Amino acid sequence: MTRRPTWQIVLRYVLVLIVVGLFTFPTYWMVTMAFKPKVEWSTAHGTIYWVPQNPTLENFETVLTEYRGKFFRANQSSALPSIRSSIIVSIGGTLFALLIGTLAAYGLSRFSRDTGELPWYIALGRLALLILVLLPFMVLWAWLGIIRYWYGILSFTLLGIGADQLIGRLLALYYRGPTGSLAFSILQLRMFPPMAIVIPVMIMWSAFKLIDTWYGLVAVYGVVTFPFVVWLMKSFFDEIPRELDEAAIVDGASNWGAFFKVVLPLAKGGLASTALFVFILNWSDFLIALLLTTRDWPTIPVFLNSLVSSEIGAQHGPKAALGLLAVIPPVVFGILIQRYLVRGLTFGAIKR
Amino acid sequence: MSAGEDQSMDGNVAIPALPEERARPAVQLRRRRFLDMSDVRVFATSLTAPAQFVLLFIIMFPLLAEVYISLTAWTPTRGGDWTQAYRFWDWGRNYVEIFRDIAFWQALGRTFLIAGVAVALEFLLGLGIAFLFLDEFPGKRVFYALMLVPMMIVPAVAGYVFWLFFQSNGPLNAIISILIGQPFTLTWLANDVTAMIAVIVAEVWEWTPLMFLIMLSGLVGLPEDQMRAATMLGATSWQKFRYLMLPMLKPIIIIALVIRGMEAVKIFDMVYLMTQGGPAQATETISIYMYKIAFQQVRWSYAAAAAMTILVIMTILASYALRPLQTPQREAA
Repeated sequence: MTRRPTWQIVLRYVLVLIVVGLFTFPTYWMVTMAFKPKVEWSTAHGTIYWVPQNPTLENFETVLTEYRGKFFRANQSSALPSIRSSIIVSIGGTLFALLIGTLAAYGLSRFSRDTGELPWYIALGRLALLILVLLPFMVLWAWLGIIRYWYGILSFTLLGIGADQLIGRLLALYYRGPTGSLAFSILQLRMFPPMAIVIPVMIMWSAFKLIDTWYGLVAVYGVVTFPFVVWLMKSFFDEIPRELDEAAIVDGASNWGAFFKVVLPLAKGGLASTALFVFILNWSDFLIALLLTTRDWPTIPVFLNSLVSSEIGAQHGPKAALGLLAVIPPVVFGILIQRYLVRGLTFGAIKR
Repeated sequence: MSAGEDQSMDGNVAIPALPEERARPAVQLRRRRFLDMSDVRVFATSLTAPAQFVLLFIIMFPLLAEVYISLTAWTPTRGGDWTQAYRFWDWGRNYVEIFRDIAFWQALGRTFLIAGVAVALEFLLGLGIAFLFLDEFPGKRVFYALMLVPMMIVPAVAGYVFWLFFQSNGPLNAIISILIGQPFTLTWLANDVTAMIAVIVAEVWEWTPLMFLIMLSGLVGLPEDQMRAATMLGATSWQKFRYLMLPMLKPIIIIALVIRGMEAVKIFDMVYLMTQGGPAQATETISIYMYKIAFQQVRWSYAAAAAMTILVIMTILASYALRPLQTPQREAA
């Protein structure tokens, strides 16, 4: 390596400092705001406080305790329930996503065949046909009044799966092109804005009485994040040579035995980082929790939003304190798994 | 469980040739059990079955319910629950209205504008910063970790922080005041153009680190020999970048752009916490638009129709946009 001239080294150092400074400043501002007493929150008095002059833990106390009708502030509930619900829901969602995602990832890694992608007009046409067939049944179910109950929804779903299979067979008679792959259609799921599917999910969830419960949220989180698990774990399983499971089977292990006793222990590190990664995703969610929780199980972002929108004397400090608390777990976990962040966020497409 | 399974859209679990020692005996001694896990096909199917079932269950019913509602004029305030929506059947007038709804198309265009500008900036910044971090220098690990922090910040919290940041008495105006030497009080989030800038800045701040990470991993992985050869042959830095690095980084760049673009189109949290789509509709993205229709104007059937339209548009876009993520380039990256 040739040595660079000194001015280049200095210039680079200065640039790095500027860039990192810019990217750190908003976080820095939130952290300092969390420790500032009320007088230092804003520049209303003509001075701005870059560093807290009298650091205090008051803000954390305010946000974590319950207040009833103090004179300058209306009733305000404590953030502790929302922290608890964030923890429970994120862990639950992560476990659910890992459970279905890891199995599918192993299946796709070992037994999948890529037949090329299904053209969108076939996919949409097929979907349109399915909708056309099922819509009268939906109206019928609605007219019968059973669709709001779990057995109505379940029977309708079974009917739908049957119709889907039937259309698939019919299509196979006339269409012999590529059929796409399960892995790819899972990836496509990530394209849709969650806002576009959340209305019917709300309807379905209220039919199952799942609104504002931790298990309702866990189910949605599991479904929303399991595409990440599938692609990440698939990329880890792909790195484990197939000969190992074959050897285990020759040595007398069953298929499940080869998976649980040979492949899964080898992918342990991958599984752990996938878990942390998915936990970060679940923890960061705002939209789904905003729509599916009301009183009992709001998560931290939802609670923070309620603080922001209720402008009770501009509670900058407590909000920043809560924001700081909310940010600690993902940042710690993110630094822990920084080697795998890129792999996770690019669905395993970029491995390093 | 076996024959037709591979014909369905999602269900192409491949059936590899059975290894010889696992082949079925010529004479079947006992009746085969239901769900015989020693059969590779049954095993493969049962691995993906939970995922497929969950997908179908979570998608089929909501999708149909959405179509059903979108064809009516039902909304919770019109009485009856959603099952009674057939009473308000109106033969898809919502869809006609969507096509005429300027606000919808504007929100769509605005979403792509924000996503396009933000992702382009993220890419350029990310690449530039990656070059800064290419060589060793004292304190690199600390700066590197600090660079990664923004993308781990919960987007809703980031939205709140930037809301603070762009207040008229916030730190940004204080910095500008110091720079220009006189008080500067612009209410950034109350002005059409500056609100848009604020949203894009927040988005760029949050996700440039990801681009930086991707680009850095790409640059580190470039073959050293060719770089050295180019230097020896007298190539300038620009030539090395333009004719050597860029072509070799191309697959990674494409993947990064596609993935960032696809996530940026969904932007909701930060906009919602910073501006709620305002002032008026200046920063209303498609997610905010649907949120407002469904929960502020309470027009569920119209929101459902908008959602269906988005789904169709996104399916078409996805099939083209996700192409680079499929097989060939995955190997290259």
